[in-house]
Amino acid sequence: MTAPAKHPSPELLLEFASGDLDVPARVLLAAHLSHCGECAENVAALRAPGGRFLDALSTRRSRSDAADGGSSDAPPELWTRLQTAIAREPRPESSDADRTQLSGLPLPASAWTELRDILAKPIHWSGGVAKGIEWSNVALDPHSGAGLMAVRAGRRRAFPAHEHIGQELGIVLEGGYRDHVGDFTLGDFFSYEPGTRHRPRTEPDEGCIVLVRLQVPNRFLGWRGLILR
Amino acid sequence: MLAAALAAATAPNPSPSLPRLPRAWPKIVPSTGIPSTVFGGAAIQHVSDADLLPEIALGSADAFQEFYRRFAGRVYSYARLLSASEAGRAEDLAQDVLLAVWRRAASFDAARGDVSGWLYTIARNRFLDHRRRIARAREVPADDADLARLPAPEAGVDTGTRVSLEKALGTLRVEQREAIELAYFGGLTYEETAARLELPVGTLKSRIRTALMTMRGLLEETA
Repeated sequence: MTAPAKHPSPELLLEFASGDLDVPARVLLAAHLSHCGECAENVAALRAPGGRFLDALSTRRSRSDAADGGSSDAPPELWTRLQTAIAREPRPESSDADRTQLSGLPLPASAWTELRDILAKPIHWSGGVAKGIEWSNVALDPHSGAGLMAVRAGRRRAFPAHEHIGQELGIVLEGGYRDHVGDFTLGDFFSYEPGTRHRPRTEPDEGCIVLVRLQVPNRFLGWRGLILR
Repeated sequence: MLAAALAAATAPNPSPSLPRLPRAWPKIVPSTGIPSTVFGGAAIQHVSDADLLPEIALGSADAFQEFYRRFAGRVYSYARLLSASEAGRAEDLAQDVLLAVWRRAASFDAARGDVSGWLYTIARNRFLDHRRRIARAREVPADDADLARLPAPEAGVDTGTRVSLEKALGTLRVEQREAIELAYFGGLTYEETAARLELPVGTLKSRIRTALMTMRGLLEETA
């Protein structure tokens, strides 16, 4: 498997490492990192000082003290409260592998785990935008208001021309597409800024599945745009 | 093998495709405030931090209990730091972080850093989500209340890590260290920190990235 050629920005990797991203963005980053050792190494570097900061707050002298049952600063009620909270946790309805099979979304376990609290159930694919193209609202983050949408297209298909009103982040989960920026293949990360207009196409021999984070819906151009307006 | 080491401590999974449900939870030992090792036995204590997480992802209460014993103290200390020492808020946050460990254990990948780094990301993420949820986004204050600095050393603190961290922080320029203490260790967003320091947010992130890469190299040298 070749490594992705297109990566998240350094700023986005920093925000991922420091916990600033919302769930849709975390899912995209988790999916990209599962394909990209270079970005995973960058995230490890950016997290390391945070991890050492946490370690320096440790109330134990060393790992061996911990193994011997060293004391903890955490109040006793914390463990009791955790037991209660975990006992209320719903049993997962299916495994990550089952979810991939049922939804048609080839996501790694790390991305499914991030999605767990806001996943749409069941994931439903709709057509009607253009022949051979389907989309699905996968999740909506209630805090940031950003949505996660999957789009899949067969071979030799053209997405309707559209304009990005807000920033769109995304990743190629399967196959690939091309547009005025270039070719995007498995694991490639993309970011379209507001005002970008394009008409992505799939290749004659391969379709694609992409997952995108949208804060504001895109605006269709041409006759579709006129009808929708 | 990990599986063999844990065989005596964990119950067989009744269904390979589904995680185990938590088993009966151990009782608190009143004198220490931490759970007693009732089910884990000796084997679980020798499992590495990184190897505990796949077990937690499978629903092992024993592995989670051991994780709690190792990390709850520092999670609570960090929660207190972020919550400006309000004990009630710190306890809520620490619970939320540790519950996220239970839920998101499968997201741990050693290629993206060690367990402490992963836990740091979760802790800060949960804190920022707490603030968003309770609409605590605020005017940017003009004092140092939001700086997250290491508290004065106490007996029992892991001094080796502390010394190397302070050494790494000591190499940073004043403005780099301030940015790190507000927006990376601390609880301000990058936008809030940029407003406080009167910087473009892109410049702030670039400053922090450069500082973190410098620190990472020094921390590796002293590890």
